[in-house]
Amino acid sequence: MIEAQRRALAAFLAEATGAEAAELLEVTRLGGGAIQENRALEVRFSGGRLDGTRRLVLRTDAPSRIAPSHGRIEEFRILELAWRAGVKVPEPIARCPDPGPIGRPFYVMRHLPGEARGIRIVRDPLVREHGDLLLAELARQLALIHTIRPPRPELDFLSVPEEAAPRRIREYRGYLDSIDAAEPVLEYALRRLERTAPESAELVLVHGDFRTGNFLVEEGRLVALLDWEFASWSDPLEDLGWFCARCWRFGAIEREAGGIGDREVFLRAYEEASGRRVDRERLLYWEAMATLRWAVIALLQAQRHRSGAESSLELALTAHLLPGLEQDLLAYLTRLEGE
Amino acid sequence: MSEREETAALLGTARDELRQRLMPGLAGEDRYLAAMIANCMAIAARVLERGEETTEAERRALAGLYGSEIGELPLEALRRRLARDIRRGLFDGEPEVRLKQALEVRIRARLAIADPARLRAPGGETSGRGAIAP
Repeated sequence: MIEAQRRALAAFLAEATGAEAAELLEVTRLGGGAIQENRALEVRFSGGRLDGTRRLVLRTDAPSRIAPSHGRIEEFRILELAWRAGVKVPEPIARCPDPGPIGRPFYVMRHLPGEARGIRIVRDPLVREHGDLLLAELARQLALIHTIRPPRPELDFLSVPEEAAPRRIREYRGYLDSIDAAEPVLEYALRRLERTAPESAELVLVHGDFRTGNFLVEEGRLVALLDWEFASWSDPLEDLGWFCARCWRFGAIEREAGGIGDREVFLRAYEEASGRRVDRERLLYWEAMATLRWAVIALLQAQRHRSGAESSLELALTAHLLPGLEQDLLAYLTRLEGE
Repeated sequence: MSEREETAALLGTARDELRQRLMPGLAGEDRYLAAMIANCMAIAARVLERGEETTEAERRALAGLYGSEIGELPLEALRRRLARDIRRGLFDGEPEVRLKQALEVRIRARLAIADPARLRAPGGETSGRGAIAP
């Protein structure tokens, strides 16, 4: 970040928090997702609601982002709603739709401690020993998110679908077509999931990327849920399926709830907190859908690299995840036939 | 040794140097990047060694779903045709059994290049970023 941008950002932060002045002491890049960029800020505020020296996180879009994710300004509005509902999230501080200060729209939230990397979390000895506690906390948070129902005027940019599953199938076909992909295994999965789509009993706010790797853990306990850019109105089982799907266990295949612990422990905690009964067969359907979704996103990410929009070895290698995801997908479809 | 085999062996030697001599001195992001580079080299070596064979295995499996005329098409054209026909519902119902068998051949052929560990232990260890930087 160049000096003029730092000054403009400090001035923006001072005004947004009612401070007389703000000084940017330090800016460091945080490991972020493939879709956005995160920077840690250390800011000294004089006066205002954050008076003192504070650690904040600034989040902007990566140079090119993939179609299904929201931009930062929409994500901020979702984060605010979750914060007000009492969900464990970093406190939203300010948003800036004007690209002026740093050249791109961004928002700022409170910096929180903890580990987010999935591979570290599933190998953390405390998590391995007390995974049930973490699962129960996650289940309660998810149940809380799922109490938010449409319509919500502040989320007017989220469309309310008639049915959750057919909407996803339309979306995923659209993404495949947008990059001119000819993928017989994914087409077969789309066709099967289309023909067996369950009706959704209700539509709620789903996080949309609720999985190990997208929450902060410290000393084995949940600190906060991150990465709200895929939130939408959908079937609550979509979040549960994404969390439990085989592709998000970071090598801890036998711990079926996010590589953390037992699936039934997680599901029972969710049932207790939400008052819903989780239909296990329908959950399997949504796990298949989750695997399909990751496969489609992996293709989109690989395409970003191939098209030259964003050259990255990690994005390029994402394409090589496809055959493994396809193997999972066929296994899920076979299990669904047998149910 | 054919030129392909020699080139694959060359990549293998370079990869060993990277993993055994350079990687132990790296940490954090740099180590992750080096692991990704090593993985790319392994993929490239497998393409040289087995690429033609796996492409032909996949092509034969997909061609087997069609009569002789379409069955002569190259893999890319066959794949496009099949993807379109599946979406149109032409493989719904009874043909689905044969379709799944052919798709399994396709998956195994591609795993042989991208992530052969999964062929040895289906349902095994790799997941998440497994195929990116093992």
